[in-house]
Amino acid sequence: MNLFNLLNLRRFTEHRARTALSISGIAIGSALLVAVLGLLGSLTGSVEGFIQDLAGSADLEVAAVTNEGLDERVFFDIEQTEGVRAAVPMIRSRALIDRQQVMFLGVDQRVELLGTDLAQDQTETFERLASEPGILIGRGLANRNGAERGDTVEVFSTGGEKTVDVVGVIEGEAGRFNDGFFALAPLPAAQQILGKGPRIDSVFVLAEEGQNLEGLRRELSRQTGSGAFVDSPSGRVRQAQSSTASLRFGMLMGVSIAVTVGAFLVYNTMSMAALERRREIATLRALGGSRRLLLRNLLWEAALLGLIGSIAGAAIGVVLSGILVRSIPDFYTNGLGVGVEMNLPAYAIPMALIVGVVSAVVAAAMPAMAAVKVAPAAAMRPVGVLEALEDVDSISPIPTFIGTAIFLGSFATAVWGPGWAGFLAMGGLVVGAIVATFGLTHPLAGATARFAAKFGVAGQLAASAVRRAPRRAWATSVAVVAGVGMIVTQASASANINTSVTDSTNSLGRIDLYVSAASGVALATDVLLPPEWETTLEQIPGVASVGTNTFSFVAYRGDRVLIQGTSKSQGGEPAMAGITPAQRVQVQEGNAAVVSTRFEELFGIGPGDQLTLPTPSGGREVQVIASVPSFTWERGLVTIGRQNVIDWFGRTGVSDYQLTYEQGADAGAIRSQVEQFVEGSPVPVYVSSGSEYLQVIEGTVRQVRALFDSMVGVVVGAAILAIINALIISVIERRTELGIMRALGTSRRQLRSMVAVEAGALGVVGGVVGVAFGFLAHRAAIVAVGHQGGMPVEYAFVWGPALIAFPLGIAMAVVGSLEPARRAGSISVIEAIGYE
Amino acid sequence: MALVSITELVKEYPLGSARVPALKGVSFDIQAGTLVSVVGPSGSGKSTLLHLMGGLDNPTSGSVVIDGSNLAELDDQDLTIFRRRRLGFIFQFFNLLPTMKAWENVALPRLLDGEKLKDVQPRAVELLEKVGLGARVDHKPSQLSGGEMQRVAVARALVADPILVLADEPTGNLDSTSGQAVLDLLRGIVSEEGRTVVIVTHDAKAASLADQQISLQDGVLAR
Repeated sequence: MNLFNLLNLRRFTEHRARTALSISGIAIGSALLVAVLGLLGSLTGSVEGFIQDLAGSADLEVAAVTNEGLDERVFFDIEQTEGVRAAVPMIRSRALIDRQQVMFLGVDQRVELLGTDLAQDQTETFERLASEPGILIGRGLANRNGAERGDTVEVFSTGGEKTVDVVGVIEGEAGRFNDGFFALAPLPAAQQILGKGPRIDSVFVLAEEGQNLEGLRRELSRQTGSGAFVDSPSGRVRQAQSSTASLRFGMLMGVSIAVTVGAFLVYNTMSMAALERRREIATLRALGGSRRLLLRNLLWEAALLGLIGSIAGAAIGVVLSGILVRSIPDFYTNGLGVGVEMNLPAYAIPMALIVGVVSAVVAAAMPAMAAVKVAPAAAMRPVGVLEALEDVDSISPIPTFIGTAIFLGSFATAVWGPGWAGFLAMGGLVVGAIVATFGLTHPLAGATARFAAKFGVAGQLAASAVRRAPRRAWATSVAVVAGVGMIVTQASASANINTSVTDSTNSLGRIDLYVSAASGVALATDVLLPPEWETTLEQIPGVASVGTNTFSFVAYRGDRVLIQGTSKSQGGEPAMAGITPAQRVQVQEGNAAVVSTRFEELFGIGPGDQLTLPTPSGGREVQVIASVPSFTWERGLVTIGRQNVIDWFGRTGVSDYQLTYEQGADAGAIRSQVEQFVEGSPVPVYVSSGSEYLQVIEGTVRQVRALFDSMVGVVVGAAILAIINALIISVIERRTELGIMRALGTSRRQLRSMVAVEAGALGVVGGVVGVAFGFLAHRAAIVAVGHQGGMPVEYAFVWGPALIAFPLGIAMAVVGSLEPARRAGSISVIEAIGYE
Repeated sequence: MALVSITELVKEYPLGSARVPALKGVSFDIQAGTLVSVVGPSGSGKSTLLHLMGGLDNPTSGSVVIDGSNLAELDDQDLTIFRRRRLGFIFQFFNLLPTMKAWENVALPRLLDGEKLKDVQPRAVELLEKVGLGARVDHKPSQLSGGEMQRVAVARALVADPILVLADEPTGNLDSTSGQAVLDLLRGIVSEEGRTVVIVTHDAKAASLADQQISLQDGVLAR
């Protein structure tokens, strides 16, 4: 520690700016990692926390495959099943209380067996519910609507509107379930209030000790048939993870690129340290310092930089995470079924620290190993003797071959391989590009030097700098490649996604007016509009027709799939727009189904196949007649006739009405009549025109893009830092040489130009490679996005992003050169010549 | 028995496909407790000889035996330990570490041997006092003159109590007064402490102080 302190730690304070630069590189990667893990953890953690609060110690959950629930008699069968110690029936439906979204629970005394906060010590409240009909509400709801014991509240659900007495407010830990937005009633009362009839939503199962859970799960699945889905309570967390897969993979990809760029900053810093300390290390070797000791100290130094950087980054990441969680598009939270709260996973910060430290140590390993190889006799060399120039045109065959193989293999996998491999292949492209360019370091440096040499004396000097340190030139170019490549990939993919989303949702603009129970792109699945509104809306003068849609989620082979029941469609819905009028009739008459391409890809069921849909009334067969792209739900969409939804699911409510006007009708007048009509509704109703609806979709796409654009911004920022770092090394390394040049009559301006030309040349070479990388990565990204994003995205080559990114890459390099150029220009001749 | 025994020492450096000889079979002995100067024109092989005597480089052939240890038979790790514990180095450009105070620089060889800073501090300060820098122990190299820096380097060379001190042009970067002070110090180390010091030098005055003078020309001993 003594030596480490003397030799290494003191360097940090002596070179504050450089230390800060390295730390900031790691901090950027680490901040992004924590922010993204926080965002993803919040998505799944909110579901996990909700399930934990609800299911407690349950081993299995028998859940209804649809929102309509299960016949309650199933419970008695489950309770009698061998291996079941206890079973707890429950109603868990979404409802509105005083227009607030809440989780409505119906339970009986058995709920205490689950051992949750909600169930513990509630004997008194249950007794009160037995003697006073009504509901208990959570503290969050009570605070929001001001309801206390003795008040009445309006409950609206698929079962209609009811006025109910509040018999108490649940306080403490239990009162914070679902952030306090919940209601609790005895099972029969909940069934009555929610209009569930003799139905329940779930049965939580506690298995006997030593019971084989998989065997029990299979037995219960067999018993309950297609109307129920049996899984561990954590199965819903897996569903949440799969429904946000595209966000997760996309963001983690961005993070890994940012961490890589951060590691390059450390690589550069350590290269700089190694260069500067060449004489010092040689002296230490001459005085008896072993290579192992010196290497260990250099790696400890890198680890410390990594640790400080990742601690700083983690702190920033926690704040960023909160901002990201608040800006998650509804598109992602819609299907989770719970509100998303900030939920930083316990592993996020330790992981960021580990990634920060490990990447710093890995990045430092090569320059550190090179540094300690210095011959002890180098300590005797006169100051200012230049190192021999390296051969700038030789290729390192092994990394070139391995990198190219990884790159081409990944590209082939991305384009022609299975969809699930898309994101892995993208990671392979990044790794392959880094390894291959490492092997091609000398030719790349040679190309940079030749290009720089075209720019007069300053260019010649810049070329000599690049030739002297090809590895540094490589590291700088890779920073430019990362920035440019990411811009080209992201912007090109975004352009394609935009086109595909616009193409697949354009038909929604054909509808004149939407009347929906959900806002924005969210789909109403829990609280529905009354079906009788259809007649009233049809009677409004100027309305030609009223189409209806009813949405519901079903558990299909363990995945939450969206069911759309449609009638009198005007071809506005993407699923209906993508088929012929004859097929549309077939679907609406209840004789056929249309699936989304995502559904077909996931489950292998497409046109011509027979689909067995799980419904509350058992498995229902329907013929699939088409598969169409649909920008709706990640795990797939099945569109059937609305009458099927009523008959099979018993779901009569309407998610949205779609109004088409007569030709020449007064749109403003119709809209104001509609708004007047829905004004008194107990349910919040959202009225929007087709073009407004499209704007909301575009807004959602923009929101998702903004998340990824901000990541690109972070990577570009880190790349600029890496460039500054590399060019400062170049200036420091040549301090004596620059001093001699000044003494021989080189002007300050010429020195500044030299640094700028070096930066520009690195920017051009890095930009060319970055654009080429971006073109190929874009192709791969489209496959990955198409697979994970829930809809196919058509690949189309676009020039625009490259035309912007290439000059931007050069600009990044030139901006990064400003401070190093200033330093070069301000070198004092006397000090530089005497520099040691 | 001689402290240092050099036998038929040859050193060649590769230059492209050719090999350039720097030493062409040099043999001599050095007795303990003497001050030896190695002189000769540039390119005569002085520095190469010092590198080989200091175990900083390996000979092409021949041997360097110091206190019974044949350096050519030691591997890198053993050579490192040998340099640390048995040799002291003084460089032309001082080679002090800029982040360390004078006494910390002096303590460095023993810190490399695993000793604690506080354990070495008294000896480091004592040596600095001995070379006349008792008032400068806490100064960093940037706060010292060239002559003072070289005196710190002399103190550093002595801290591990070496059997042989090797000095490469110790006065080459100093003015005449500072240079004389350093030479006096080295002479004192030999006469008062009985140590053995080898100086590679161009300085005729330094060479004249030596008990034994080794002259090199074109890689061989000059007659």
